[in-house]
Amino acid sequence: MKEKPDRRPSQGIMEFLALISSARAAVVLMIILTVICIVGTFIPQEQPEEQYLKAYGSSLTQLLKGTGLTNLYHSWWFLALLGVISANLILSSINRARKVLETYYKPQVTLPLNSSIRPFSFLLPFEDAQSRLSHELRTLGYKVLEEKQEKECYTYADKRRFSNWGSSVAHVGILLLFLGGMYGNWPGVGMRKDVQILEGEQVNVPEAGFSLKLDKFEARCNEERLPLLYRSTLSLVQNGQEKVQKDVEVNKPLKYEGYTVYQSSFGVVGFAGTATRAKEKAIPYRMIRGEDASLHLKGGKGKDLLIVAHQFFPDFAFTPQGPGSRSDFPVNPVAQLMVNEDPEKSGEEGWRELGWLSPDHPLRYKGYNLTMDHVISYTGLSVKKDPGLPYAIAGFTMIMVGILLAYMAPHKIIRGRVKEKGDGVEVFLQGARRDKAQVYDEEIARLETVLKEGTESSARRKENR
Amino acid sequence: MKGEWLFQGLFWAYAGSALLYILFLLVRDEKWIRGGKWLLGVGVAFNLAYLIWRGLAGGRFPMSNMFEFVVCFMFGIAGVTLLGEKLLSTRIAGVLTAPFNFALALFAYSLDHRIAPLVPALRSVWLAIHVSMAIIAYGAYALSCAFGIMYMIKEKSGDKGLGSFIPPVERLDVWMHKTILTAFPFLSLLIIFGALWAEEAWGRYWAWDPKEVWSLITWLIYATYLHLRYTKTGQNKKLMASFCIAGFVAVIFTYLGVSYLLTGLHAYKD
Repeated sequence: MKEKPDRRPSQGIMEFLALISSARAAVVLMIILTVICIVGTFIPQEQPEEQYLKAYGSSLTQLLKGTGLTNLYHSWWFLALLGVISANLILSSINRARKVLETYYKPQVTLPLNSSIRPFSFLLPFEDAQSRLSHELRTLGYKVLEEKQEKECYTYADKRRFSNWGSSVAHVGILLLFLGGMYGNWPGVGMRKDVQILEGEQVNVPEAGFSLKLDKFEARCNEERLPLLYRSTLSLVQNGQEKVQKDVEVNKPLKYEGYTVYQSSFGVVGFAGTATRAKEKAIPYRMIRGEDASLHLKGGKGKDLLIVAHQFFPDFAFTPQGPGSRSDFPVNPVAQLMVNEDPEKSGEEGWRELGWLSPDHPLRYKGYNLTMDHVISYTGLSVKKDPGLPYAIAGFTMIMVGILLAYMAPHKIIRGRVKEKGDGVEVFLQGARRDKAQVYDEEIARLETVLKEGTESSARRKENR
Repeated sequence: MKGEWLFQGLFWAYAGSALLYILFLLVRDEKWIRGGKWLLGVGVAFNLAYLIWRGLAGGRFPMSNMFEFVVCFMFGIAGVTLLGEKLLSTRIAGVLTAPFNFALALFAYSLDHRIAPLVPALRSVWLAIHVSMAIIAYGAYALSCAFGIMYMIKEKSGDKGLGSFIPPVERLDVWMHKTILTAFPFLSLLIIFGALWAEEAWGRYWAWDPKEVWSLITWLIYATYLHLRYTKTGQNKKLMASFCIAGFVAVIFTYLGVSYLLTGLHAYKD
């Protein structure tokens, strides 16, 4: 009876490493990742708690939140899965690279051929058959190695060995992408901040060490309110100096010293106008939603008049629910002004409607001409710095190069065995590719033809003699 | 609109093509295949002309909304079918892809045909690159799915009935592999170019948006297929055929399902 060899602890580790580096493990991991991704698209991610409570009820929400299913792609177990996938990628790349190097330095020439292969028989001298075979393989672009033994010769021919590096290159690319993503999101490394700036104002972005000033904002749409343009004319100010000025649009971000500023949202929040009365200085005013803005005018007998915008619609329209806004674009701005003629009455009874104001329809009130001159918008910008981005882009490039190497020009191997038999030879030919693709029929048929032609010409030579 | 007759042309050519292929399925006479293929070619010509006209009339790439995506998708499927049939020397592929293409044409008919301007997020040269990759990859995956379905039929009915028109399973297996192999680099480029574009437009190359995740799911299914071929399980050709079918189901879901059933940044359905 054979004795079982001692199982050293390192053997167990090696077996484990072999297990997680296998193609089989890759398949299992990819299927798990696929299933998790599908789950993640059907459970809404990173929504406010109320939404989950409404959709799933309290106990299910608790379960989903507790297990991380509501922020699945950032949960610890998802990151752990990516970790295992990384281990698989690293180990399989090492394994693969070792095998690829073997095709350069230790090609196995005398490997037994598949037993199911039927040989071709030719009436050709052994040497002649072998030389014709290798000559034709070389013509087809193969590198040919031969190992002659008694009455038989093994041939190992291959081309495009470099293609074997493809899978390692692609796998390392995926790793680089993971690393780039992690590095950019690592606390303290990258940053992302959303800022809102009103037209004409300047906002400091302390994380980036500069301020952004919005000189002008433009939002345009067509008649069906399909957005056509969002454009922020920005100045970037650092240490009191204007460094860059640029029109930032979607797809045209501003780039400055590793930071990128993107157009991300906008809103119309109010308007600016003037109040004028004969022989008096014009009074400019602004009404902005959320700000405690009001216009102070003088009535008869020096009485204070207080005017506010009760409602403001950037794209005014009558809806079944009453006055409303058709869109967020400043297509048809209209404001409803209210006046308080007796500031002592501060409650609701002090206020009455003054009228509806729009650029085309100024309001007249106590000798004043009130106008709406232009709307005031804010721009929503994202300021971002991602030092991991170059690694991610390098990763993308490597994935692409790797895939193209591996699949567009795959490594091809043709193994041959020429065996002396009677007056002629038996020739075994086998095409081999790692993914078992049968792509050799044509080339093997061509080799067969060449050997057949050789047989015919050698027969003719014999006749001539 | 002036060029709408081109849409009528492609619609009725695809309808006729689908009809002839279905006629073939009913009467099992190969002459109908020839007619179906010819009309499919006519449809592709109309389809291309229509896309060019819309591009010129709109002054932009004809890839702005669901209607135009569907018209592009049809062009990809019909074009890759004809090309694939030529490269693989077969006439059978269109039997399944042409009726599917007609179903898409019906869907397209129901959508808004007006030429709308591009929304700001789509105004980029990346749009043309990104969508072109999708046309090629999705067309090829439609073809591999057709081969997958034929595999199932052939395995069930052998050389009887419909099976007599279908090539042997070994050849179907090779074809499935070839089409997936061809499409995989394009699918990868589709996702990578999309990521680079998202970085330029939104400042995020990957945001786990449902469309992005579903494109990754599609990629994972085909990557699994390609890795399975290195394992013993991959010798189970029926399993591999079912991967071809599942992969294309994921493609359709990524392409249509996400826009209609899920919400996210990437829902350009209107």
